[in-house]
Amino acid sequence: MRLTAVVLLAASVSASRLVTPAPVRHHLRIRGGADNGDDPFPLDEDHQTTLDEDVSGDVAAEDAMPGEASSSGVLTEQQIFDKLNEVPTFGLMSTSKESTGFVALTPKGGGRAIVFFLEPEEAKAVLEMNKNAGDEQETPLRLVCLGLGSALKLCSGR
Amino acid sequence: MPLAHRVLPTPCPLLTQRASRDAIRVLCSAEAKEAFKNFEGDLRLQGDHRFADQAPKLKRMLKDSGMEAEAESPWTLPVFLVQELSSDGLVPVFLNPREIKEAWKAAGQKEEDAPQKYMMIDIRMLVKDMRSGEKRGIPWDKVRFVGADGAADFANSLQQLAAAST
Repeated sequence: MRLTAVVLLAASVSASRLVTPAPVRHHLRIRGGADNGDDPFPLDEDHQTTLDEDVSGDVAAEDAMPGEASSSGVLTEQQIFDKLNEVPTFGLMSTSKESTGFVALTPKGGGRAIVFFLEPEEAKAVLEMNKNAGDEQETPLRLVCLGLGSALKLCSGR
Repeated sequence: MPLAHRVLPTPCPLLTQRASRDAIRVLCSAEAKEAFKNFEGDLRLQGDHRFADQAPKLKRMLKDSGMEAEAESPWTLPVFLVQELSSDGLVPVFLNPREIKEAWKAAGQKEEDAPQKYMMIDIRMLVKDMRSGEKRGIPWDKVRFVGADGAADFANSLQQLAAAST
């Protein structure tokens, strides 16, 4: 019941309200992290090297993964959905009386995007940046949790 | 090709970090479409931003796999699998390689022996393979997604805050 109420409220929010708060462009770099000086999530150089040199795709998968003799069957959509939904993602939501819904951010490349974060620390950082963005409307914001399966469906347009 | 070393203990602390059912909101497709039908921007998943530079590689992999639409989408989300922590009974899929190191240490292994090679693919490629069940001989039913360390606790705390405010 509660879920339905939240979804319907989100649906009633117009696109213009969804972009609240607007003046965040200089604060955010979606897929690029915080643009406020020091990188709060410095990447271990050795690790980056490992990714650059060693991470590979299908070819590596064919060689590297276990269970080659296994013939485990296909998973249903629901089974996959349930597995994914065990992982939380975090989205920014407006909780003002006038409009409740997911808040769109301004990515580095422009436009608007509703973002579901896998990393709680990054979600918290974005929340704090927007709280401190000097939004005149002082839109109350909070983080909400959505299952990865649900978020993936949303982001895949399904 | 030998099977994995099967070093991941059961229960592994990382795998027991679960958010409560109440903490994670799940939308059905109809609800989601209704909720966002008037929104004209993008919807994106955002993993650890430090791996943003892997996006071109992931997009290329998506394209090579015939997933053109996904390759053109504005986001990618890498997931990581590692042979040494996988077995016929458990295939952990990590959202961040940081947790691979933690899992390795939790398994009582020396940090200096931690796996250096990961398999990285976009999550949509993984889901496609899980759905088709055709590739890689991986026991898909044994897949367990491993979120960021602390994510489950944070989800639970959000739920408690929300409950307290109602």
